[in-house]
Amino acid sequence: MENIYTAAAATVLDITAHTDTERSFRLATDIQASPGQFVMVSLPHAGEAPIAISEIGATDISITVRNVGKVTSGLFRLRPGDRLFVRGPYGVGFPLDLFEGGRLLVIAGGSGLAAVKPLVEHYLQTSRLHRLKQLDVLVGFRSPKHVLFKDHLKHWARDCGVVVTVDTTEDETESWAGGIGFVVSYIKTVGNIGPGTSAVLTGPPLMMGNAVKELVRHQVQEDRIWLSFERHMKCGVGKCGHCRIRDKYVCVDGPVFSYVEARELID
Amino acid sequence: MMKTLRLDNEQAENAFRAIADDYTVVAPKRCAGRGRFSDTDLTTYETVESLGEIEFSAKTYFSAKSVLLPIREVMFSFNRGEAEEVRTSMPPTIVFLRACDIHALAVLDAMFLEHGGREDCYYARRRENMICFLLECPGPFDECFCVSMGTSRTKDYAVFIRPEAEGYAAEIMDDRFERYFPFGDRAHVAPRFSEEDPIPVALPRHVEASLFADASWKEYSQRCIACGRCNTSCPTCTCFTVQDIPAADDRDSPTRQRIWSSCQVKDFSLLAGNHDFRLAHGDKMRYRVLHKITDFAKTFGLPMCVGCGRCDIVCPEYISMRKCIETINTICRRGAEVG
Repeated sequence: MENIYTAAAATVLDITAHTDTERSFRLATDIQASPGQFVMVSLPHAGEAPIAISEIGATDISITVRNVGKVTSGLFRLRPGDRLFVRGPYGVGFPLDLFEGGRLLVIAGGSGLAAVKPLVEHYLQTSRLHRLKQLDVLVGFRSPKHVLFKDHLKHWARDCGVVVTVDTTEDETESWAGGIGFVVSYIKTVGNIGPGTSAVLTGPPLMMGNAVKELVRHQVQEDRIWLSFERHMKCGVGKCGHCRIRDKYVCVDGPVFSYVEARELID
Repeated sequence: MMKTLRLDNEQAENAFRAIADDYTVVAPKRCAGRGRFSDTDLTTYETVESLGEIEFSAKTYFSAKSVLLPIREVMFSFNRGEAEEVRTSMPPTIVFLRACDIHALAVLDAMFLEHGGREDCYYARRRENMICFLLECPGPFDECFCVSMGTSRTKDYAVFIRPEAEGYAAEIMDDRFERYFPFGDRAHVAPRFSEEDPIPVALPRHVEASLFADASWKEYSQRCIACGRCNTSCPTCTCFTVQDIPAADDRDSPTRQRIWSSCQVKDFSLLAGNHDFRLAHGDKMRYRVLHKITDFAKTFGLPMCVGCGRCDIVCPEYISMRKCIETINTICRRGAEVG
């Protein structure tokens, strides 16, 4: 009988430090994921945690984590060549079919960018550029020193709309050329938002709530707004119960939900 | 072929002993002095060797779910850098259950065999080796509402045994057990099921959005102490958490274990970075109760609650599930009229 909880060992290929507390780990694995899915990452002794896939390669995936918990602080002690355990991919990713041929607006807050990065990169591949009429990425961080994936954002700006904002530039010595203020207030700066726009949101719940209101005000249809949820999970496969909201399990029914479903998910 | 019979005490004990030689038998047992209050007994599920040990007339404090879901179990170990499954096995086990608790198995099966599209191997292996014997109810207990929940009757058992004034009556539904009863008078024997609840309960048909912000949950926040007894005693609560435990003799080979969890207890939903959901005890209660009466049913087509009433019995604050369902109904009715 198949065991759904055991994981395979994977080698850390390289590690990228974004900020003092945020790093990406590229892992050698045969996991074939679709944008929006996640993996369960574990370290013996520290435990296991659900982590969004931030890059999908042919023979590797990347995860991007903030050093805030038991598992993540264990990850921060790893060096290239070390091994960890990974299983997946899990969850339902973004509905790529529904986006094709239309305009797509991706809005991310902070480390939420990691979860939508594979989606943006999916459409920025040369062979797929024509599949969207328009692609815009709106991403907000706390301050300039919290900005993740700086090089990627710069690179993306050649082929799609990219707006990077920070909540504040206080206590910053380096100059800031991007926007200032909450990311939601920049939605109105994106052109052509309307009934033909699909929107994808990740980030803090308050930000996602405000972004939905603003999008609806711009006539974006509620069933075209997609949110990626983050919840505590112990299994990733619909058994442990921790990520349940009403009749939905974030691990198997999500983590991506349309707003029409999401608005019923009251905690 | 079904077989029914009456047995005298000696015949019944002999038959039972023969069964107990081939199977582990788990049944309600009265454990003297182990009750919650001083000088009270605890009726709970234990392994039994004779019919005489079985407590037929009292309701158990805990359900029998720990037979299928041990409170703590080792799932696998990290051995020399590989995750190695710990093969668990349960000998063929007979469990004496009331109708409601037999219905509860359908809920456990739905979670562990169906949900997410994949089977939980630890549960599945035990479930294959579990056989139900039916316990008849002496009439509804005070807290029961199985008739309202549609769980008062069942045909899903191998053998039914009832103690009588003289000896026992039995109904053998599963052919495998006929050979243990090579005697008897083929009397008419059929289990009697509860016909009426002491206080009937109706489930809300539609949950109004107004329910979530209702002040009643604040009132429950004042009473509920979030101890999680309602979860541990419930025959259909299945949530678990996972821990890595270092092996005593080998620090490099920890085992990954799972342990019962509770949606009422602190940190059930805590995210890394300290973001949490449903901090108020009343909100946690709403989360549990709505799962039991509506949310689970939306996915699986049957309510999760089987109306056994154990959560009412174990609650240190005397919070009643029936009363809570009634409160939900009142709020939803009000919401429907306004909305």
